[in-house]
Amino acid sequence: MTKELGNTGLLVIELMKTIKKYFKMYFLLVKYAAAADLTYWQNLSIGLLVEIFYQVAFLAFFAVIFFQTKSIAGWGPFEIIVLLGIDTFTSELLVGMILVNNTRELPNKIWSGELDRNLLTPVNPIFILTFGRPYFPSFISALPGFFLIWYGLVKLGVRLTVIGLAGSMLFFILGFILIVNMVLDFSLLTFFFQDTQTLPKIGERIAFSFTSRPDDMFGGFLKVLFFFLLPVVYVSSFSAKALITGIDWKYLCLAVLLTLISLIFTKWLWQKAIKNYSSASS
Amino acid sequence: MGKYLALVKNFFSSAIIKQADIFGNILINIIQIWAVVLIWQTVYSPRLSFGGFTLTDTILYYVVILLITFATYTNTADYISQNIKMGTLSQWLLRPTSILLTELARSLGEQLYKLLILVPIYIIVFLTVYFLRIKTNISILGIVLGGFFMIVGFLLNCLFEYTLSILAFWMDEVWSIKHFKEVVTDLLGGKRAPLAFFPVIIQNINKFLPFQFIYFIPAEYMLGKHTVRNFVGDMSLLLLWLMFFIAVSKILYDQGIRKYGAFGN
Repeated sequence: MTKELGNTGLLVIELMKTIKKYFKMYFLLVKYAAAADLTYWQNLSIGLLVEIFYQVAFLAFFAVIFFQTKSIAGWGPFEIIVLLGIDTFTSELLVGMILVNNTRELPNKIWSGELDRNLLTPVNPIFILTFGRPYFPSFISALPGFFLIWYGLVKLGVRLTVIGLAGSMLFFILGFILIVNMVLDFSLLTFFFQDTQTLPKIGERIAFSFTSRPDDMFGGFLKVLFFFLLPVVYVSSFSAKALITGIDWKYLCLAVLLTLISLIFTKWLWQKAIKNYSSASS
Repeated sequence: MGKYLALVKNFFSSAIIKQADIFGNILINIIQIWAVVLIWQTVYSPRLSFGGFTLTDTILYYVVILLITFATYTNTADYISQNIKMGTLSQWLLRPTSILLTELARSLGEQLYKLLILVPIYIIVFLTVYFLRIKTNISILGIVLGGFFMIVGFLLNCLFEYTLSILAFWMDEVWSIKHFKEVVTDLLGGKRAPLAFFPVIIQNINKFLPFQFIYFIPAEYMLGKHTVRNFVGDMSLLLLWLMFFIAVSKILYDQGIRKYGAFGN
């Protein structure tokens, strides 16, 4: 028993060391991306402006809805603003960390054989394919999301508690991992259907379209779909609820369980995908 | 004319190779539209109509918008601005064809394949609406007029993007302007929500702008909300905007081509 506990302890320590190593690596990647983008600051400024235009248009759509109604599935306008603030932060992080230079490029990498280089590096290839080239402007354009969250909370008169904040962050982290796994799963299907460029975009379209919706909108089959199969509700909706009304412990436990399942599933899918890969040279 | 028809045929043939991508793009747009319809279904629960649109009208609006999105889509701004930036526009200048008409032929060739897939689906959709006796103002004349405005809306969108692409003679990147145009067009063109849902002041200003002709006006005719009585007014304004973009693009092109050095970067 002591030996087993000791082994488990060693495993946990190894895991923590690995996570720390990859965090350091990612920080360096972001630093280099920032340095490259800041060299051409005009392009960076324009990129930021474009991201902000998209955010404004997104908010304008909800303004049009609230011009016609007082609530969406019981969520008032300021609750929705908190939700949209978290969603803005999520979407921009998703774009910057994973989508733009990474999963979207996977079909081209498979087709051109550039993937071979990624597979030969002494780093976990999933890490390289998912996080290898950050898109720095999105990290900056994620910041307005905090303003929206703050504004919504002030208007609602909500007093933040430590537990609420911790719960919200936990929902956000778990929900973000779920979204990343979902997008990656769709991208990995490219290994099996190599004559299409759009598979990565299907996962990201699901993420962008549904993470901004309050979870109370979904009932019946849609609840099964968006709570379990394509779990998009945890990152923004439950995270916002944790700030506004408090943590829903049932769904927090569910989010933990789903995150573990999705990590195992993505690893399995990756192993199947790489077996199917034959490289451009062959 | 024959040379442009040949170009349309060539680009159509190229588009067929990417059939998996076309189905993928259709699915992506269906997901986007579905997400919007879901939110309106939730909003409509206690109310019967907004801005003259019932829930059925709104759902049909978005179904029709999906078709119009594909029909009016173009990537002219990306295509031409890249050619200017890379210096490969030179090949086009040596051809006995107009750059604008060549680009229209390219866009049309690519769109034709998508429409070949989508039009039969939409015939089934409209027949379903008819046989289920869903209460709407959809009529064959409305569909024909909507189809006509869809084609002219595509032309307008191409001209708009062509005008923007010419800025590449002076700017390193035009993708930001193109994205800005897309954002504004999606919002003020009625892709995100029917223009009838917007505040009256925005509707009144938007009536004179070109964006509505890309999505909203074709949808209004298809749904029977605009009729033959609106045709002359809509067509006149549309023609004015077409002439505006043709004139501006010609002026910009004549200025830009003098500057063009085919250096590439």
